[in-house]
Amino acid sequence: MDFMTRYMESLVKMNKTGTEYVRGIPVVKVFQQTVYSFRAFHDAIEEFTRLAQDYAVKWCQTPQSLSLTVINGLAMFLAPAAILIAPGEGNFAGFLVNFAFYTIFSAVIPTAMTRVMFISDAVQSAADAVTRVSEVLAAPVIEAPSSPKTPQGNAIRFEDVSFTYEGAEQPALDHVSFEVPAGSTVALVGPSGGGKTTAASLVPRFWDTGSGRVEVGGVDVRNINPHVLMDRVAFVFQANRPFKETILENVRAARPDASRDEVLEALSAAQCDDILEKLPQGVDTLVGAGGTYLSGGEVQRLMVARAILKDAPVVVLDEATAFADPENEAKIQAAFKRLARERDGEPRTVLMIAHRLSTVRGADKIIVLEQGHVAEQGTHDELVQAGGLYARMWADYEKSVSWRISSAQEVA
Amino acid sequence: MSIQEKYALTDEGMRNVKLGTFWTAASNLTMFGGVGIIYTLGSDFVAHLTEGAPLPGLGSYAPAIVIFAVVLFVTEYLAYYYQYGVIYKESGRQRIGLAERLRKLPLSFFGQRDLADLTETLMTDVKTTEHAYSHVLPELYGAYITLAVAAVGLFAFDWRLALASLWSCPVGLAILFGARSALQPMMEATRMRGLATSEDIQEALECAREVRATNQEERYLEHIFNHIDEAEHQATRSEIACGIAVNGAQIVLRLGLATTLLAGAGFIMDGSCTFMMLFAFLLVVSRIYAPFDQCLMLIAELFSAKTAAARMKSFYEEPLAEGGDSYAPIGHDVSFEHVGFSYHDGEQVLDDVTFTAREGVTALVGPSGSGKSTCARLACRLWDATSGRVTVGGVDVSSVDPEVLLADFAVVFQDVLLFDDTVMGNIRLGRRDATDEEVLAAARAANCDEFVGRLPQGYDTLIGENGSRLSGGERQRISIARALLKGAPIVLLDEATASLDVENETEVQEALSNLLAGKTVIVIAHRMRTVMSADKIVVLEDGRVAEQGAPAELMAAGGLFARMVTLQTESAAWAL
Repeated sequence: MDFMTRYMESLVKMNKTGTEYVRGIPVVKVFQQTVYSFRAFHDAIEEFTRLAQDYAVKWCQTPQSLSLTVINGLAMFLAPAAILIAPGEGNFAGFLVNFAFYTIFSAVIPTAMTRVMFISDAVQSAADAVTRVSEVLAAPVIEAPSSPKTPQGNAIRFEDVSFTYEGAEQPALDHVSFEVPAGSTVALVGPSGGGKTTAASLVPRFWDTGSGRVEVGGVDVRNINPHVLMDRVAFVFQANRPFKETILENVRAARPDASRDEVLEALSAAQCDDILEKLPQGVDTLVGAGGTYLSGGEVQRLMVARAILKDAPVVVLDEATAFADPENEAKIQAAFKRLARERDGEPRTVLMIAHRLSTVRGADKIIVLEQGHVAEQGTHDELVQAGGLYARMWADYEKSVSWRISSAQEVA
Repeated sequence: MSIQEKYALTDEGMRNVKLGTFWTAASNLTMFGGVGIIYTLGSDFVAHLTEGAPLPGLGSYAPAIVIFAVVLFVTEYLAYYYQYGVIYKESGRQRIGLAERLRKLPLSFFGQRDLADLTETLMTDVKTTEHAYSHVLPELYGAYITLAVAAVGLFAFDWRLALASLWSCPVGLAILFGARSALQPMMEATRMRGLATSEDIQEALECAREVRATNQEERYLEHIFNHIDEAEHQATRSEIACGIAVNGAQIVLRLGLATTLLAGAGFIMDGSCTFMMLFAFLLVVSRIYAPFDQCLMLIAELFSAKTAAARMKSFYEEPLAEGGDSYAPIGHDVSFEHVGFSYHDGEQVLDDVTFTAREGVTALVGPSGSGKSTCARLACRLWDATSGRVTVGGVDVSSVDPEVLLADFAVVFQDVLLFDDTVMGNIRLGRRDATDEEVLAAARAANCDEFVGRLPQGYDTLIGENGSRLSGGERQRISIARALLKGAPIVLLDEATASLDVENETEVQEALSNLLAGKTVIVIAHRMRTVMSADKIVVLEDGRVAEQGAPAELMAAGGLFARMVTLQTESAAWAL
């Protein structure tokens, strides 16, 4: 029923814009919008109202009223029918009794019809709901490999990888190839939107490449058992969301069988002691509503603790120091250092995305991504000498650092 | 509490309820016209049988039947109109009214309620009450009226039969409304469980990445499945209980028919009643119950409507931040005088904070949790201080209506909030009546041209829910452009350039310093470069002002600020 679909769509839209409106109330207040100027929500309400109203009045009013009239006014059929039949009846007493019966019995019909009406309404909305559910169920899933292979070693390799986000015109990654040899630290840098986060997201298969392959330990990630992959690689992302659990449980999520002491040790290594100190219940404090809210920098350190606890041979770090105040930043840097430390005598493989060019300086190799292409790659010294994009970024950065230092020195 | 108050109806909405009730009752009573026709026909047949009278012809009945049909149709049509035809407008009005009210509420209200809950009130609660007052009430009161009219007639004819037939009505209804006290908590429990499940699913969707990365999928799913199971059980229990109450009431109601038959048969046998009298009673009584059917089916909605209406009213009952309609600041200095602030649970966030931000850039720095963002919110009255006062241009902000005050502020929040609209649309939120050129100029200043050029439809590209199609830095630049467009005299920048990479930050900083000349700017930032060029720095620690002064002074003083700068310079040199 095409109308029902439009009605449901309009309802969904009203819900969506309504949620946006409520979530965006601080912006609505500050920029002095009203529900009238917040067009999206206002229009969605109006459209829904109009659709529902039209449906009720234009489409339904007459048929509904007619059917109710017929159902409730059966007399208008029974009476003429009885009048016409009566003359031909032989056993009139019997006929009279039947007449009495039917006139009383017909009162049951409206009740039955009411139920039928309710049921058909419910069936219609259920049918639409089922369509939506089927759409979700039909969405393509990331396939687990039928015959998984085990990764050999801890190197990461991108081979001619191209990837375009759904609905985007330009590819986010365009024939990107680079290697992260086992035990080395490689930094991905470049302007924002250049594809760094996208590249990092391909390693844990949050997306699958359009073409080309991403390999861990020589095996295409699509052929590795997802659990094995997740066990082997530790991730620290941007915009982290802690679970609505205790800090202990949040960190322990990486390795559920870890002991309490191990968790506390990891927290300490990730420089989280100050966080725990200020909370009365320490590591057993609940995170989120009903418990405590942690700042962006604090959550990040918790995520690092989680990664430290996981003790995986490969580490992927994404934008980890964007929100840090100087105190947090120093701590986070120390936490990362600890995270990248050797494991059983072997250096970990680290793929790192950062804005702080200074942190990137010590990496074994730097890969500069610009608009989805590998613009340059090499060590810091090589790239500075080459005088390309990286050299320019570095020069900018040096200016800002030296300015800061000089103004601090001037003033001191 | 009147019905209008109980269901949060507008005046017109109330009028519609009354008219709906009237026409529903009218259509019900018209139905009895049909009964009259049948009765007359019946007595004609009886006369034919017992006295040999001639059979009635179609011609004598036709006019009555036609009039009956027409009147019935008209009353049903009008009843439908008032029950279904006008309610959506009322619901639309209610939603808009609620949304307007919501945006006027102080931010402290939002701290206590959660997003899903509030959205549900706007959406579902309005719908629930809509059903209640548009269908249930008119049907219910229409049925009462019909019952009353019929009862008067029945008692007039034969009080014994009337008793035999009508006793079941009060009893049936008593069962139903008596069950309310048991049903209502069950329905509330169902709603709560449903909400818990939605929250779970919402969290799972938001944390999908983390869940997969930590191989927690099974555990998480188990958790959700448990909640779903609980919700299901609760809903089933609630439905069964409701079903028993409703169907039980309907069954009891119709027992009246049986008792009428039995009593009537008895009276006929002892000669105190005629067949036609019994026939008439049965005709009427069998039709009295039907009007109750509709509202019985919807009775569950009536019960849950009460809670829904209460939630809607809570929006209107929550006090607004009061203040004058206009204010005359002298200049735009923002001054904090011994300001203290704590949240409801007593955690003291600010304690005796005193400083003044004059024209130029004032930077608030300090460790996280020291109260910097809170100061920004207190300055523009998004929250109200619990002690001390905040003044703008010499005027105490608590004496000014927040709407009026906010006209002078432009804010860039730490958590960027964008909408699923075009880039242009999002920036234009800064000032509704801005021209396209002005929007583009603000965008250029915030360095948006750089990435918008790469978008498929440029400035008319849709950016997804909360700007999800863009990177963190791109979203922040739009947020900055929006604030710039407003052109307000006081600008609050909360970590405005935190997500920007070096190149972008330089350009945006330059643009900002041009555009922000002559304004009072309060900056919360962690990058010392931003802070170093400020005119004044206020260092907050644990909610107190630790130091304040020009950057040069503070560096010379060698206190907390000097230490923070050193720390950052050192960490900048840290290599992995």
